[in-house]
Amino acid sequence: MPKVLYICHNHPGVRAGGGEMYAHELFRAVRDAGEFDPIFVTKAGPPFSDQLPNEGTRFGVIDFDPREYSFYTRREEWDFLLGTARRKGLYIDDWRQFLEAQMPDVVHFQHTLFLGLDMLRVTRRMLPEAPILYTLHEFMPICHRNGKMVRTDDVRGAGGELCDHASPLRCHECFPNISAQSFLLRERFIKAALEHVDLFIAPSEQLRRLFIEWGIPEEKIRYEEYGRLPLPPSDDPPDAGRRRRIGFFGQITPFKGVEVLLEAMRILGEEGTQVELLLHGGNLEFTPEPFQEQIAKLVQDTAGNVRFPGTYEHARLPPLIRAVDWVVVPSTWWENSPLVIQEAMMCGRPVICSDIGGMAEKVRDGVDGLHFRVGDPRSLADTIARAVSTPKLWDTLAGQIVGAHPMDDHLVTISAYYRELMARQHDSLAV
Amino acid sequence: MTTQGDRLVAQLEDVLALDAHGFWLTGWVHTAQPQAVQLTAVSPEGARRTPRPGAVTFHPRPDLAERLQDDDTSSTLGFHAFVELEQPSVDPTGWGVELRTASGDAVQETAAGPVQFDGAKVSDLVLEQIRGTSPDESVFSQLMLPALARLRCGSHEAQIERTVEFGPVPASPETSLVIAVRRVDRIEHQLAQFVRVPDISAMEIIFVVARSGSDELGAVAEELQLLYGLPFRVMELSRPARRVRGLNLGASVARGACLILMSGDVLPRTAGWAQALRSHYDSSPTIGAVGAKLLHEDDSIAHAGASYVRRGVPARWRRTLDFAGLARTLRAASFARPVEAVSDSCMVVAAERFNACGGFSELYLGPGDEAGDLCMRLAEDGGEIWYCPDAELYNLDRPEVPSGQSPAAARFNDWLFTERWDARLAWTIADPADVN
Repeated sequence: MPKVLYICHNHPGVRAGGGEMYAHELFRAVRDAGEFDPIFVTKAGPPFSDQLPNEGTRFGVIDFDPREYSFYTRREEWDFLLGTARRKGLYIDDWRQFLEAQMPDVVHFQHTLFLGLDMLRVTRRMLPEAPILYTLHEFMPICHRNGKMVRTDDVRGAGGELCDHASPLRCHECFPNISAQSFLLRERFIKAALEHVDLFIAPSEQLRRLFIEWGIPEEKIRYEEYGRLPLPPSDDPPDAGRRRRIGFFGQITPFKGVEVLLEAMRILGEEGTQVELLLHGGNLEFTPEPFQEQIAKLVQDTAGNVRFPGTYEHARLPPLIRAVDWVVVPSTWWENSPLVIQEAMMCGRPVICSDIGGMAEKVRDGVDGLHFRVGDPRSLADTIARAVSTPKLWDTLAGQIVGAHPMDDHLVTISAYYRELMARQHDSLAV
Repeated sequence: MTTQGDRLVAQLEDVLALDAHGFWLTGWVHTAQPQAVQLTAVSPEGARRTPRPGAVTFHPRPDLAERLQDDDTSSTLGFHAFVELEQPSVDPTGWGVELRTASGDAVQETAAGPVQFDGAKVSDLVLEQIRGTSPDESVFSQLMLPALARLRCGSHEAQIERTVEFGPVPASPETSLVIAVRRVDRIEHQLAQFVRVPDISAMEIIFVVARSGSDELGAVAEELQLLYGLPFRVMELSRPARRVRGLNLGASVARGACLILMSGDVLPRTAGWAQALRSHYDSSPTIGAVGAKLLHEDDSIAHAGASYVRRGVPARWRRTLDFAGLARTLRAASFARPVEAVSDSCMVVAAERFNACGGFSELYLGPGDEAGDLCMRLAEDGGEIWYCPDAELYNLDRPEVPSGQSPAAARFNDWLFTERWDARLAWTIADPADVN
């Protein structure tokens, strides 16, 4: 049975980010399908966890599962600009030895954050026959601002604006302490590493387009939505009083647009619109202090129509979603393919989202959800007001929800990629 | 208050040896007309040399006013003199100077201390000649240039300290890639691009690096070799050196008959740059050197061949960069063409030709036009200089904090270049400005 190696920057058991969640679901689905033998390798150690490495090795087994490994790296080893470790022992010794021991037939990178792009080089050198795939979860290779493609406040007059392309000079504007020359070096370095990838998978058309414009050859990048395993069943609560409850589910961090949502709730409160927001999310304590203060003040100001239950376990998400009528995704960056949109749709809840990027692509305005102007509390307030006050609108939108991309269908596509690339690689090396 | 009056007083403070034949003397003289004093140097062995005009310079020494109890600072001047002896002088003590005024007063002074071998100090003193002043050109030719010639040829400059091979470097390469590294962190960036070049492993790669004083460089180099799988040599120099010095030293140990000389700050834009240079170079036996198209980080042209124009009073040849600042894709810059000069940031040249003409001149101050100087010598020997647009590389050698070249150093460089190549350029270039 061909062996597929998955590499991810985190384990969902440590931090339930969207990329990690999807990657691990894919791993489990591949394992259960039985066509490929999957191995899941995830970064361990700071900054995501305080886990210490085993004596004399960076590797360890996760939860006694011989298919799941942790790969310990330290934050201080990391070159944030280049996206790889400064010293190379990590790759030429540890990673090489792991590959030699596992000898995978396919290597599927989900993320290299705090692991390093040099893993791609070593993988290619060690395993010339093994296809390398890379699922893109955001714009990190393009944008030094954690892949957000939102201009920093250092750009005079354009702070917070969405960015649609990178260049050494534009990036230098965002980060004046990093020279344009350094940004050119960054771009060339990252592109040289990504040349080793045989196929990129983009879960949104927007992401695919921006990466093609950045320089990834069109034939090497395919659109394929995240596949999702079914959510655990939960009861749909009675609908008395529904249509007026909206919910936010996600991290309360910059770019997620929570401040836009709270401003909209303040407007709605002042205007007397009957609506209630349930703000489900965490990680606020890890954000910059001014942002924490801004959110705290807004929560205080909107106490009349906002409840803030805080963080939640992902396993408890379905009943939380079903407890509201609308799910709001107000992100102020492009997003890729937010899992919460698929989760809302799996629960039959229409989505109100920003009119940009992956959100606007996944939610059809007026069909299975509503769009508002990104970053505009007035526009969001008007959209929420329209949602909760238009008779039958909820029923119309909810009735047209298609649902999520089933993992079974996704697996058919991904498996076909693996087979196709293995055959192609075999043929090219035979030639 | 003047207590010394017109009496001739002098002191020989330092005698600095560049080698057994070249000596830099510093001191001061106090008299009513110090600049009219004639100086004669006397070696411990008795050799007498009276430097020619320009080989002695005078400068204010206000620090001596109190010591000499003389408010008139114009009557006390420091001096620098450079003398060259036909016979070597080896005795470290006993150097002296004779100073004679126009009215016949004379004084002899012997150096208090022994001769010092301090090239770095002489380098500073050479630069001091142009710091904040604009000396007569005789100072360029009689003082600075001969001193620089001895400085740059002697042991004062960076030397090869050791060469370490990482991986199985080719024993008989056709092409040697010699790279003068300014920033060690950029070796990784270059390797990340070099590894994309077809047949790169058949080339010899030499990184010329200033000694760091730790073993970190070796450890990093080993890791990079294992990561990228490209063998290379690291030549460590005894001290930091200018790019042309590094390239000269690297070329001296290169095994390939064809040299690609480049800066550690250039980054190939495409994988085919080395083949493009080689193909063009191989296309005709009359080609002396081929230069690449160099780009800024905004994709504008940094170098696509250079021309020369005669400007200024007195007239000097100055380099102009063809198409600089224009778009990479500019049609006019997309054709191979013969040019007056190419850049030393990336050029290919035959090792035999390079060595025959003595490599890059090391006599220019700061960033001079050493590449142009080399191209002139290659051309004089019948080699054509060509620009190759198919080899595109980014040139990232601009300092992140602008430093700029001192106007006086630029003046010295312009003078030196013109001294050497005026006749040739005047013959080969029809400068529109000359028509009128």
